[in-house]
Amino acid sequence: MSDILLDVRGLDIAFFGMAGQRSVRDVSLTIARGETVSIVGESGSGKSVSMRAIMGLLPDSAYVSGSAKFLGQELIGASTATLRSLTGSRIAMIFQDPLTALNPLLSIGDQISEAIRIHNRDVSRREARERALQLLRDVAIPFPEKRLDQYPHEFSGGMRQRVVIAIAIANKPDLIIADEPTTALDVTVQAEVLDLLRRLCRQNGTGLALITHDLGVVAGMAERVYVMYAGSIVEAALVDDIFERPAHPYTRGLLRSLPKMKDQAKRLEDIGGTPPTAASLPTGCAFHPRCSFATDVCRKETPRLNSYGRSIAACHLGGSLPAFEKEIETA
Amino acid sequence: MSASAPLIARRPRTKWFWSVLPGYFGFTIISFWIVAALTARFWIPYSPFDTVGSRLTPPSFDHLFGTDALGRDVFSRTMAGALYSIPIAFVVVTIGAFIGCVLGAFAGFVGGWRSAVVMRLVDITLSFPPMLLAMAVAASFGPGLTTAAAAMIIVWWPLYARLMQAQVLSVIRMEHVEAAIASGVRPGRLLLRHILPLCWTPILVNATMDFGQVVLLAASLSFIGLGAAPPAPEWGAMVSDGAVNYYFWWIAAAPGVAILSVVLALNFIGDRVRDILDPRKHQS
Repeated sequence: MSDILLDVRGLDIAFFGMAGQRSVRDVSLTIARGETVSIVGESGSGKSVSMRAIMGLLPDSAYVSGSAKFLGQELIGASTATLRSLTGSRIAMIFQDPLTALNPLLSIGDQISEAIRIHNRDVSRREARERALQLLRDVAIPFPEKRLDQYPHEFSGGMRQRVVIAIAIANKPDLIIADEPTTALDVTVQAEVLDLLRRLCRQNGTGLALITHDLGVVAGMAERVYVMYAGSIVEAALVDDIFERPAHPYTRGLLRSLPKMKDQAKRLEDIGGTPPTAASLPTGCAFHPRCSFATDVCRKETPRLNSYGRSIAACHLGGSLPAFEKEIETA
Repeated sequence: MSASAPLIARRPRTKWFWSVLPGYFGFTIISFWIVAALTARFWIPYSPFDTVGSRLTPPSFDHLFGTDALGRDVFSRTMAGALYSIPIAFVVVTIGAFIGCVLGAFAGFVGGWRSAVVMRLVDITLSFPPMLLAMAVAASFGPGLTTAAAAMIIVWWPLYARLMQAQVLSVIRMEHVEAAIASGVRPGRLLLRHILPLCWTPILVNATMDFGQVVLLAASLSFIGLGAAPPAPEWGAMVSDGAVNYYFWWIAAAPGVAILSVVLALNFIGDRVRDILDPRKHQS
């Protein structure tokens, strides 16, 4: 099991004042060394919150229970000193909005150097600067010597996200958690940044937890996918299976609501209704009010994760669902 | 293409002129008073403390602003008075802002009960009318310029504590702070390097605005006898001397106008500083 980088088991998160309702319920997932795993879900499905809990970034009003082991070391409930020594060096995080994730008053070089020197006290300022320069080259920023002394406002969004990536990889972490790294970027820039991220992770053998709601990104990047709905994992599968044989009705809904090239005239399909909040969770399966296959069992009993082929899914109907019709693209 | 109209209309030059004029005006006046404070002793015609002519003479060429009840030259005293009001305002605002910022930053950063202790202290202090509290403190310390300054600091720090706490609370939620935490930055460094540098704008604006208020409060304390001791040519005390009898209007007029000009000038400067540092808030 030494191959397992991150092993999350039964993660529960509740926030103060939410009357015992949990925002994240019984989430278990693993990430192996060098593997890219995607966590997909709508806003509020708990994907960001669970990753932040692992990094110890949640406010004091959050109650976190369960277990998250990083290379065998427990992170949930670990002391701030332990977390501080891991975060930034062994586990790095890339934030959604590169416009705000950099300190506007420090030069890019200073910020990268700081990330290096926090975890390596013996590195001199000059060495750190040299390494920062190399990192800027690694993330393909043109004229790195000039750029090193510039400030975030002198960079475009895509360039800033490259800088954020440079900071994340500064200490060659084992795991990078990327929280919607391209949501704030242009589509064309998005592709470049994702390419870069994928290349760097392959090069360094870094595990990548990619939080996203963009299935296009998932298809291009991930090896395995966890689909989250209303705070729980509803399906876990290899990326090909997610697109070919989605086992959970919610995953199917997600796939069906992707815009299709062929029939632009048709109205975009959606999943009816809105996702429940942690405070108004329905009984039984959290998805049943929006599910077209729902039966009486779904309304009463909470489904557990079961395996269906190579995937696991939390659905009572699992095997008995009609085969998923991939949109037939005829000329 | 060069003939096409610019996409963003330029602000008319005249409007711009009127918007910056008060700032320069205020700056000129304050410069004058600062120079006076530093050099008045070398060029004022008479000693500000001694009887130098007949009592209660109206303004003349010998005594530009007349003489007071003890035959002292009001012009010399007014010019020398700058050395009291301006340094006091500076000391009070600097120390008050410093104490307030340290406590406010602490409260905003640590949160919890320690924050509550500081902020309730702030609330208690702010619940008194500032003049009344300053009077009470100055009176209990015994009158004098130093005690008046101490009293004003006690009145002034909570404003900055509250401002700083609010500012730290808003900056601490910014994503770059979270990113810094996520990269393992220690709390002390986080506060000094990633939070405080983004907190100064409102503090600076408020401090320039407050200068005038402090000058006024210092003069008020001296006016009611809780500030400068009698022979000192403090403006508030001089106005108080002159207020005994309005027939000899010139005794109070010169120091009164001095107070007015300083407070007004500092307010103009405060407005301008706010416009420069925070252009969004005030656009007319």
